[in-house]
Amino acid sequence: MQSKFLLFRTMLIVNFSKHTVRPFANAVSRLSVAFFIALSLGLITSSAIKHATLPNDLPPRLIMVIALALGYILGGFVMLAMGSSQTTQSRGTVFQRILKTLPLTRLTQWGIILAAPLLVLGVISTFGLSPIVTLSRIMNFNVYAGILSWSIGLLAGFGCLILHFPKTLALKGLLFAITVSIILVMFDKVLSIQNDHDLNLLLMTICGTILVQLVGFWQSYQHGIVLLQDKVNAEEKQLIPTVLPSNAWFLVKLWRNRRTRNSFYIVIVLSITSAISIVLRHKNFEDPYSILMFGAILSAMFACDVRGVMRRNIPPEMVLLKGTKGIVRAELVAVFWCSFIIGLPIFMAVHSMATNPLMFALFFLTVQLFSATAGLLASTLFVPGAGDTGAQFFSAALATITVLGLPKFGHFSDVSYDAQFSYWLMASIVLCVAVYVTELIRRRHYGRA
Amino acid sequence: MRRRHRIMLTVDGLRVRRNSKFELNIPFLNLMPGTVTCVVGSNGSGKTTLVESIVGLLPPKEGVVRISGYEAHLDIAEVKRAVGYIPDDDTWIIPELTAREYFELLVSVQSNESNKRLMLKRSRELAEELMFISFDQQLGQLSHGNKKKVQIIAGLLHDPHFIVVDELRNGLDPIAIIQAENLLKRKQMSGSAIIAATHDLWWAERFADDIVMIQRGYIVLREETKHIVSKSGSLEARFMELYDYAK
Repeated sequence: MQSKFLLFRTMLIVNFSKHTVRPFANAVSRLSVAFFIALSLGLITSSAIKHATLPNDLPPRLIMVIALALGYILGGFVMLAMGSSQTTQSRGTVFQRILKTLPLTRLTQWGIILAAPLLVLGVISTFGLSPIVTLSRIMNFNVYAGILSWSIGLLAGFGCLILHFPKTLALKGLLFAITVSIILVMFDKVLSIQNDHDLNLLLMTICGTILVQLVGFWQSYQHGIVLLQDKVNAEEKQLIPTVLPSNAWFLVKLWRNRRTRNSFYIVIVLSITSAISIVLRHKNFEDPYSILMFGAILSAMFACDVRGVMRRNIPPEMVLLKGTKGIVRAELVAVFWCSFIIGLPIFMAVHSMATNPLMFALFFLTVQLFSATAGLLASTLFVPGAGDTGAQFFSAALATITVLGLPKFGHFSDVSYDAQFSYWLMASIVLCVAVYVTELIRRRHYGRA
Repeated sequence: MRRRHRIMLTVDGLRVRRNSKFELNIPFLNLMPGTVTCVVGSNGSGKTTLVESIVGLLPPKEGVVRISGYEAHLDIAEVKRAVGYIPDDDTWIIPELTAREYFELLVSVQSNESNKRLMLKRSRELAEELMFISFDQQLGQLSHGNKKKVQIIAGLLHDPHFIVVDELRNGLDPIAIIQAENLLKRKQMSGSAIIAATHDLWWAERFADDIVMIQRGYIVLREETKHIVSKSGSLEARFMELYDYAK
């Protein structure tokens, strides 16, 4: 019993604490903060739901399937983004290797390794609790069934990441994106079906498509968990020739880093698949501007990882390459270009739906710039290293909340979409300054007690 | 049954793929109790790959590694309890834990109620012998040499019968090297089998009963140290002969 507690304690320290004198207390407090924030955000969301007009005649089984699908999409997205940052040198990976040499049963090893991602899923699940309770009152469905569907959906999303086949993370990302597209296509059909039998059949197909990915848990138990995606000590090829302009060094650094490269692959796969899905479904969105926000979230998810490729305090690049200003400028250029590429497929898919193509393009550019800077700020604040689950989660959460929350709290919706680009641009400039100031403070305070 | 357990390690038809460019091929290798075998070879020849396959960290593509008759890569508690692993990787620790917490964790996992105190006492004795005193310092803050001492203590505190060492001397000061060697020699005398990967030929010649030389993933020499020395003068001379031949 004591050994299980010590292993669990070590798992918390390895995944949720870093560079602290009291690591266990730090890990517990960070997790508590995460649960508190998730609960608060859930309460804010449910208060918004209360004011919305929602149908109260939807069949409960349809609502359960929607909760399942939402859980799957959110869980899979977050876990894939976090999984992309595991490398052979990750702290979590070293812990896995140490566990492998200890006399532990397969079940104990499996449980300890899965505990950290399951805690992250627990935080996300907490976010959903309050909205589900509110929705159950408005839409008349069983609250426990709703919470159960949401939680199983989250687990199925994680199940996709730990499937034995496909092996590579990029292929898993592709599988996830294809599954999401299929689910969305089926939901389109659900809306047009009148026949009860056909509706049941379609809902069961959606459930089956999602639930089948829970088999990942069984496979991970049978074959050992492969959260580590890279071949051990695989030799790195020089992926970009060294003929790029000298100020593109950070872009090259991001590309040569396996962690950020994996992260880029995943978000670009998700972006391209979403764009293809939009084109294939012949969807004509009345509000194409809000679709661009998905590309912005993907960009922010990528950008929130980039600062971790350098040392936390005074990286050598800062000393050697034009100081703090130089490093922030290089980071900004790199993340903006990456962000632009990530958002481009979705922009291409929906640009024909815009009434004013020029303003739409400006909106796209400024939103992508904002998401890049929001991600960079989160990344600069938390500096998520390889396999640092806690910092990655907080960084991704902050970036996403900034991208989604700013239009609401900054009253962007008071003006039309076409006029919003100046707001996004101003906000981006403010965040750029915040990134610079953060780096400056960290540099000046390094070494002081 | 008893006969089978006489052989500590058997490697049979082992093929381990480390990456697209490197594969380790060991058709046959066995180790008897009470012997020290050094695996030598140039950089990237496959020493660490062999060591990691033996402790079950790298699953074989083909073939099998058996420790006391059990397959090494399967999670069998008896096998893991019998093996002590001292890696050559200073990230092989949990940097936030203190040495005391790390040893307590290992003891709690390795021991049962009856030998728990014994193992904690043993960790203190090992620390004393290796002159390690920083019990309450976080492992991440320790020097390279002290991290190596922690790894040696961690590898030996459960009194294993089969010890796998990767570059024992790396990072240790001269006194700690002598103490660590004495520890391993005592284990050998008590019947434990030791396999040590190293690129230090002088040390291997002095320390090992048997030498296994690996080149590009293949065993090119398996011989008793005294025979090598009597034939070629020294292990270094034999190594250079084989190296020139391989070129």
